[in-house]
Amino acid sequence: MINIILAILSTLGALAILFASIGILRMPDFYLRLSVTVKASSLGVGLLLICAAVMFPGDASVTTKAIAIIFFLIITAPIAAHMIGRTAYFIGTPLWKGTIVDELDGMYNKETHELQSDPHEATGKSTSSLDDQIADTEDETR
Amino acid sequence: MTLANYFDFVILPILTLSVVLVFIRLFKGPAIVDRVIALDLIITIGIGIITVYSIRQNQKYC
Repeated sequence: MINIILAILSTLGALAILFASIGILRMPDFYLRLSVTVKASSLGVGLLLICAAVMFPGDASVTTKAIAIIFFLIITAPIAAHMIGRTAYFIGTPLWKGTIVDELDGMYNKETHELQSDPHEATGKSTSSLDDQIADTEDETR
Repeated sequence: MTLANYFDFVILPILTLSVVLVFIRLFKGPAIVDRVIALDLIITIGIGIITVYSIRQNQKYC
């Protein structure tokens, strides 16, 4: 019975990690890649660690370590993803060609890194649609 | 198929294939941030591989 639980948990975890890596290879844009990979890989590694905790029953140290690893992974991975995505927007990584709306367009003051709610308050950036970060061709983000 | 064979011949090859796919993105990524998230994902998959290895070797100090 416990073998079936272990097989199911490890299969789900490995498939989640496989989908994360297929997503980082196939998605057309940096931001889409970021949104795919962090969630799926956290889920996959979490399931594998639960599998390890189920594998050694009655041993509190393994369970405690597995829970600690899952806890710190869930704390740190989204913060790292947030900061990497914010940095990518500041340094001008282009968005995908098919992006419909970029709600941050013109809202960031790129000198002071402050987010304004009115595009006129963010200085030095016009709100015309010609110089936004949405890519013109597919090759820019591939 | 025993559980040990299942870990050896199904789970670990899937994780290895995942690392290979992420390495392709690490080598060809157009921007520096693509390479950063590829490295981040490789390290996260490494945690999973170490976990499966410790399950497989019956080592409790994972």
